[in-house]
Amino acid sequence: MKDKYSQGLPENFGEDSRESAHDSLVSFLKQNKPIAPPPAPDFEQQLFAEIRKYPQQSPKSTKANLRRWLPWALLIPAAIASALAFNWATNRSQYQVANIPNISQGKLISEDEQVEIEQSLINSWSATDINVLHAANTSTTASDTQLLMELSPLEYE
Amino acid sequence: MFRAVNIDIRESPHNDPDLTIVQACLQGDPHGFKKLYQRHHHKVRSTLFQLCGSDGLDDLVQDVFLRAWKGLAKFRQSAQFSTWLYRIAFNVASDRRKALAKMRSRNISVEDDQLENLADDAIARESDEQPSLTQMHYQDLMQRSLAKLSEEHRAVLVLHDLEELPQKDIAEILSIPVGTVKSRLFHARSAIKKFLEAQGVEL
Repeated sequence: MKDKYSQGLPENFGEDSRESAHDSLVSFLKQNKPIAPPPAPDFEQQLFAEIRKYPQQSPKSTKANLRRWLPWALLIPAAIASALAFNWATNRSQYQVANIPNISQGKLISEDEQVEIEQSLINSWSATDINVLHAANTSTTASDTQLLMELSPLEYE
Repeated sequence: MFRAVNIDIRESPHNDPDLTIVQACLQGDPHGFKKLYQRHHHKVRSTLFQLCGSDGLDDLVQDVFLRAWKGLAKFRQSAQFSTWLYRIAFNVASDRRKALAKMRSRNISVEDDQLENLADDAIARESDEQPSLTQMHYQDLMQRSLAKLSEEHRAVLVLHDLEELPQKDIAEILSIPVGTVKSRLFHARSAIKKFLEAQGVEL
């Protein structure tokens, strides 16, 4: 990417011409370079006293620390994984209990019982159908009679 | 010819004598870091002075070496130690300038501080080296002209023209391409030349 400042430069503005154009300036800068004031007399002692507060950790001690903390660091993901596995297993067994209750209770339905249950379901279903039909017919007849009675005065007029 | 050979040696990190001292430091040599400090503190101090002035210079130098000490274990030994140290110095200077900018926004007069610094420098120089009046005037002009430059132009000019670092190293220190170093250097020199000529310096 081109620097924004280089956009104003001519295309063939070579490095040498740049250098030579500023030669006298560079020598002036070097000649009159401002000199930094000397440090305080006890600067070095102060610096190294400060540095001593932060002991350098050698690679050996870093390795020892790693060895010390590695089992604990591995324990965390292992605990998470086992918690997830336990949760999955529990949910799965509950799902199975909901689907097949008799198996979870240790009982199996015999074929006779199944047939009996089916038959009773069919009977109760048929009985419900007949009752509903009868009720519907009765209500239809009653409403027809009422309608005729309401209309009858109009016929005599 | 000599310059080219010198650059080749500098460019190879395997020949960097600092790396041996860094390794010794990391293996617990108590004097290792002192050796590194003695090898580099003049350059670091000078760079920080050109970038930030003399106010709090000791604190800045201390900050650089403290950061270097704390980060020594993370130093990639494929790079040059001096480049890494200059990078830390540049970051410290940058943080300092940001802090000064914040202070400026709180209406604290920085110009007064700078004037005070100039006065301090003049006293310090008088007591140490006693330069001629003309040289003092030129040094004062130099400081004022550096202060006129933007942070990015000033950094490139200081590192290249005053500290004499190669452009490749400057690019690495400032995390910019070498082409950007060149163009910034050109513009910084042009600006400083214009300022000095306006002050009556013949170049």
